[in-house]
Amino acid sequence: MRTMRIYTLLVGLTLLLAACTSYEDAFNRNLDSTGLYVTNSSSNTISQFAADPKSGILNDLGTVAAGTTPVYVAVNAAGTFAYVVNSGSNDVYVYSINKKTRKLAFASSVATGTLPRMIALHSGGKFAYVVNETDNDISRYSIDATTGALTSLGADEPTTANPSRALAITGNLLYVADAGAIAVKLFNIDAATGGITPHGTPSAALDTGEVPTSIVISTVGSSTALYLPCANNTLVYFAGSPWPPTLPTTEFSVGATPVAVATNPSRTVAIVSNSGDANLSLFTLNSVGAPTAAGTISTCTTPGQMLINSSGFGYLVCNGDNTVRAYTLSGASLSLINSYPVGTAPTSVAAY
Amino acid sequence: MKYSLIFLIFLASAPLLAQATPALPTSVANLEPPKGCTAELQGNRPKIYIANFYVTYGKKDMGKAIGDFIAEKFEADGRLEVISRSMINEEMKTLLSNKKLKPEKYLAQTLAYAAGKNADCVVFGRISKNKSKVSFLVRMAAVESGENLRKVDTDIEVNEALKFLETVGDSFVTYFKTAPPKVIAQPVEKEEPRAKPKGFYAAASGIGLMPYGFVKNGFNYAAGGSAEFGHKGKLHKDIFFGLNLEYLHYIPKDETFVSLYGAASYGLAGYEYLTYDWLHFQLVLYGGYQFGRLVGAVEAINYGYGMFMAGTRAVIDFNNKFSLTLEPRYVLAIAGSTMIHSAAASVGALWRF
Repeated sequence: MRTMRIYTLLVGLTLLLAACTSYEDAFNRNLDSTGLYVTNSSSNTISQFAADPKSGILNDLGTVAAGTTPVYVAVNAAGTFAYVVNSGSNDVYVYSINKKTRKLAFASSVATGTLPRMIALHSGGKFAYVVNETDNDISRYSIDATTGALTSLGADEPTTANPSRALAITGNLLYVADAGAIAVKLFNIDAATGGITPHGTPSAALDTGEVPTSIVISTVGSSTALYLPCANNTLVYFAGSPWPPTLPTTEFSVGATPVAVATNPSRTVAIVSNSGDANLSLFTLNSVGAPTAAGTISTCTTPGQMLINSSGFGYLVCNGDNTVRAYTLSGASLSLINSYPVGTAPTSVAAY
Repeated sequence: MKYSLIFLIFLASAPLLAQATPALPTSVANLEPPKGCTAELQGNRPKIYIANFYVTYGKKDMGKAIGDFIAEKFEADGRLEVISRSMINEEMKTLLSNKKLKPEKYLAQTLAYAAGKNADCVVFGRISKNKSKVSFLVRMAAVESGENLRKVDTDIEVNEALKFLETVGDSFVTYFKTAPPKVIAQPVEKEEPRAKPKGFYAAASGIGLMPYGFVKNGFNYAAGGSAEFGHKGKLHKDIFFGLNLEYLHYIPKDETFVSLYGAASYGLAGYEYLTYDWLHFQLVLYGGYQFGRLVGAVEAINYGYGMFMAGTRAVIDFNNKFSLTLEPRYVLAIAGSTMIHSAAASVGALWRF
């Protein structure tokens, strides 16, 4: 009888402590979580989440309406505005981010060219650039620092790429992946006016078959590295300097139909989403960003864009099962935390 | 009749002198109380002390003559026990022989004599000259209380003096046919220290709370109320025990949180460490459990954890049943390895039954 009482007391205390801990954790998640947003291209919505920086778990905050066929989302460095590219309605929706609730509130919209694919924000926070696939040009905008609203800076700038599906910015350089010419195009950005002009050497050709599907730039210190998943099931890497890069570029085998690549903020790991194989290819990166293969892991069907935040958690858009998956990144290995439902045909993820 | 003649002669030859008669001193009331100057005999006839009158106009032995005259009236009536006039005469002789006797001294000493004889009633008076008339001041009083039962203050012509005295004597005797049953003054109530309240009580309070620790990051204040039921004085007059139910609603600082509320149940023990007449200070210790719900912009959770509180309560009595309570408190919640501190204060009402 006495033993029973002791056990009962211990169980009670354990439950008490557990309850308290979970209460404090939940309390702090409300305070510390950051916003994470996923475009649902068929639902025409944005799924909103709060990401816990300690555990990586997501809290579903519901959805907010987007334009037609939202395909890409970007968040400014301050985490105050989100920009959603709607390729169906040929516009960009601007949302303000409530950093207390982590929810989006529609603020304004601006027209783009035909079939916009991506938006990139200048590091100074004053300009934004949208690549239009059908028009093969780039729409340029100034950003209102208070409202986040985009204002056109005039005529779109031709990319000479065909088709133009992806762009990336580092410093005052703007890169465009040219799937038609199998090349990377480079433009200079006028930091004062936002205007773009072709670089003195405007194009760097890739090897045959290295048809780029996307482009990611990672800058750590003065070192810039470019990563391009290519249609020949490879990951192409080259340093941003010197330009043009020494060819042939370094090429790494990945799974079938790589569509996106993600690096962590400290640029020690790169992960390629292989939408044809339902797996992820992992790479470790050296000090200049050069990859070394580190294996593959299975994931959802049709994995899409992925982001890795500074807390060491990865979030992968799963177009095949309409989810976003949360992973813990440790070294070059991923551990699944949980899978969270989103809208139909998710395509892109961004966070602050 | 012989007294009447003496009285008249006395009046004609006495020097003129008028003096005031003071009120009865209150110290008389504290003398050993007799059975009361009352008409209700109940087998025991009240004792009456008929003093020699204080004479300032006429011969000094007129004071004794008037006392004897009035005593005859009472003896004839038979309702009261008249204390021996010869004994009184002997007792007062020395007093009245004092040529510098003041009225105050006469009054005080007469009452002391009466009290010394365990008298219930006392009759005394003064005769003085007021211009061409004789001034009579006659009193009949209860010895125990000092209350005047009959009072006659009048100036009459000299040739009417005898008739007046007869009237006064009859009037005083008649008093006991109509007097109220008791003419004993109520004893003076002594202020006893108020006893410490004991027994069951119920209380209700409004509470304000200020959290510290991680909770402060989301909520600055909480407000709520509590109800308490307890008993004081079971083990010791200063110790009490009770149960307390409390509800708190926290006020969010901003949109990060939607709401936070908690309902708690406590057992409490208290000790009254300082008592004044209507003010009590008590140390109160609480132990209990709180259930609640936190709703944030990101996440909601139900919670429950142990609570401990310590407060010092001031109880201000309005009367024996109702009191105002004021209580600052320290609140501690043990949350795993984390301690959540709060400061609280309550204001309420307490009802003893």
